Amino acid sequence: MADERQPPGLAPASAGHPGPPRPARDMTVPRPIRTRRVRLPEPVSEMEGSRGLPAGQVLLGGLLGLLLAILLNAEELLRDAEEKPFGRSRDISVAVWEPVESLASTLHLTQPRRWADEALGRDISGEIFDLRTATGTEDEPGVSPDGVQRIEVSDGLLIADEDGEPTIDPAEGPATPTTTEPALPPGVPTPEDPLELWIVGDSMVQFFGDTLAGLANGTGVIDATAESKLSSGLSRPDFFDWPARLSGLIADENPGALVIMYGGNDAQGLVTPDGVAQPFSDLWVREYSLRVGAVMDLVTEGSDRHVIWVGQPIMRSDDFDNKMQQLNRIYEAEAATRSQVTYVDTRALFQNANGAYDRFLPDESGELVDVRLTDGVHLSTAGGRWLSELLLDALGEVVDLETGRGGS
Amino acid sequence: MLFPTFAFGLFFVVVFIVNWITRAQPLVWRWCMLAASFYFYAYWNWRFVFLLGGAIVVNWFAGDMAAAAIRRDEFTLARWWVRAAVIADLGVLGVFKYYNFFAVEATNLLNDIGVDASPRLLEVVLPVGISFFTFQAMSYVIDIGRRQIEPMPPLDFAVYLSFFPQLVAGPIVRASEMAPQLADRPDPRYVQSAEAFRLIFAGLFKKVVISSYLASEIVDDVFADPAGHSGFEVLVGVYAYAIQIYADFSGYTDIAIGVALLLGFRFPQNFDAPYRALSIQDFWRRWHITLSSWLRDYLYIPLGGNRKGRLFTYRNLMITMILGGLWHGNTWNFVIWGAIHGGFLAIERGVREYATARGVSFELPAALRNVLQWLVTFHVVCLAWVFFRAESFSTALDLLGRLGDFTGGSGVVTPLLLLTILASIASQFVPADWVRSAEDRFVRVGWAIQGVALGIGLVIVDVLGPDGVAPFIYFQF
Repeated sequence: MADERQPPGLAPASAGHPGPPRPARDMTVPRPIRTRRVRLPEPVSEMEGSRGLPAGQVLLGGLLGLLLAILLNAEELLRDAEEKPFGRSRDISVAVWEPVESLASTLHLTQPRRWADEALGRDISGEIFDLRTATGTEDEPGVSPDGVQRIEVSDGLLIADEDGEPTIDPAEGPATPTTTEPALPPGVPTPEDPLELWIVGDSMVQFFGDTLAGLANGTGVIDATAESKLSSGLSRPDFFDWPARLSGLIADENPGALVIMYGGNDAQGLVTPDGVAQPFSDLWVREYSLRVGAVMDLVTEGSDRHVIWVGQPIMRSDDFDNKMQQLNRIYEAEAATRSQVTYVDTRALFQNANGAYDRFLPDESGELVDVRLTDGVHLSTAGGRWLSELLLDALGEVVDLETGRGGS
Repeated sequence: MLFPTFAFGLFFVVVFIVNWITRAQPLVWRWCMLAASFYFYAYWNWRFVFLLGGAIVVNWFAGDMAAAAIRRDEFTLARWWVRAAVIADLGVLGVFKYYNFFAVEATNLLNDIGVDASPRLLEVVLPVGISFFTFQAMSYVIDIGRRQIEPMPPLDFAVYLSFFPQLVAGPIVRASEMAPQLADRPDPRYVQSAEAFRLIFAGLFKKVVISSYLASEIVDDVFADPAGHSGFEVLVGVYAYAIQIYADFSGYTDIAIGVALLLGFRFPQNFDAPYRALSIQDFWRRWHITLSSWLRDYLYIPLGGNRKGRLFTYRNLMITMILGGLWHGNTWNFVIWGAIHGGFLAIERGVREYATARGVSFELPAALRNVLQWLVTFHVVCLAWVFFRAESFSTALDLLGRLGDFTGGSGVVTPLLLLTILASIASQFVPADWVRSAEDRFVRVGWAIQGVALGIGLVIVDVLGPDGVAPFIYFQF
């Protein structure tokens, strides 16, 4: 008969000890407590000795394996190092991996990885989409004749201070809201001819993109798809080339509308024609604004496509939140000059009654809802639903989503 | 520090060398291992090192006090020391893991009846691994109170509780399993490299390739937007999640066991082909074995186990599995997940007892009976996974509601996806002897070939895996 104390469904006591037997103590029998901790010499145990190798040989084998993996993967390791944010850590990583990659290439050890990547259809060319040429962007947005960066936004002027840190010029005071007049509807979508909507961006999109797509598809007149790429943005096309991806997306899918959200990973150095720009320096703000504007142009040019550009929500960290506010002002300023782009401010949605960050916020019925993840940045599922509803409303302002599905 | 990273590889090479050089000097070795484990933990968030340190000090002290009381035959006092440690451990878990859940639920309940409540909610990050090392600490003190183990020296206990291979996601190693291994120095001439390399490669492949592929190809889509997928796609998505969470968690365990083996420690097995189970009872003897045995020893049996009659047994099964669900997280979905398992354990037991009492037997060929039992078991487990993975109860119901509608769809199901799921399930039926026999051959090829195989294996995982690796699912528990 089975052990009376053995419950159904729970592991038998012996289940955790596979493999050959080893000296074991019967821990189920009460035993007297040893008087005190006396350190005894440690006996040597031949752990299943016949199946082992000496530690020195294992170390050699492990090092050989790691060395081989490093050499075969040298190009990828160098690429990873180059994609790090500009700074000392990146410099050191690149300095380490460059000679390794050089050696591996000389020995032709990088070739198998290239073949594998090509077989899997991966782009290993390292070429970056030429955003300036594609959009004919030559001007320097928001730069006044005196060379000082001045971008007009709804609640003040964004300038860069001596250290390159962005600040608001209080003397200028709040500017006039710059919400752009919506463009004419691109056509009334119907169930037979739905609006093709793409939701793209960084990891923020990962947490609400599918929810928004589901809500949008639920209207019956939208065919929505979400696509996100972790750690991506507009600062580092060498890590992920969003302009190239968007260009391909426009050519292949010709969407009727886009929801775009970047920024969470963009407060880092970026490469400009004049060299590497440190975050929020004059050069940085000029270059980043240019990229934002050029992406807006890229996806709207020659079409009546509409873009919903999503601003960053309030963040838990004051420092990070300050950076995101600066980015929001750039997005708002660039959207303000383009009739097909609507900037959506998301800060108010995720602020508490005091205008501060809060992970738990009351919903319409007053029930507390956990709207943020514990990282203080990303949205929870509930938060993603809130944002999705806001964005769908914003889309409904510029695209007639009612008539085609029988609404008035 | 994630296992599948270059940083961990570098860290481990250093630890491996230091481990075997200092192993003959117990004191030096212990301090080195403790430093390595604390460095590993601090890599996540240095602030939580103090939490881990606090858990070590409090539980060791309580265990020592309990043992001292037992030596003086003051058993009541010993029980109080054990209770104090358990309350302290559960208190820490409660604050970090459950406070917000209960505070929000209570606030909403009070608001519903017209009482304005505004509790202070905590903006805390869940310390990685807290559920695992807290359970280990509790088992240590309880076992001392039961006079099943002797108290460990403080440094040994610190090394045991913080030991980095199992620190953040198990397996839940008991003090009774670790103490003899800390005392018995493994022979450096016989390191189990073949088994360790096989486990590390298998773990990396399962985590980086299989789990990531299934998550990005179908699981995340289906669970985020059930309405956008056909019933068939939802069904495949649920199967895929069953494989994803197995590949993710057992992958971590494989790596942890492999890493520990290279340092001369053998951890208990945590998975034993769970998707070949023919009953829910069988499933729990194969899935997260160290947790299920922990729940058996420290919850089910103290509740009375099956010694107080049929209804009490069912009650105890439900309580055990629901609390097991809550161990995973502070949402109602985890409660439902536990209730499904507890409910089916009770049903299985009830049916078996009824059939035995009435002499009822099912006249089916054994093979057919096994197939039917496997099908029912697998689908009950998958049903429970729906609640485990879905972000909310309503999402889970939406998803289950889609199963009857086979129209529409988004085309996410591909032949490669189906092949991956089928191959993963089929792999559960590979006889363990085959694996062991392959390992035996691998041992004989020597260190150079083993190293080359390891290197090629690492590259294969990197080529087939995505850019960047998401944290292991079980880190959040």
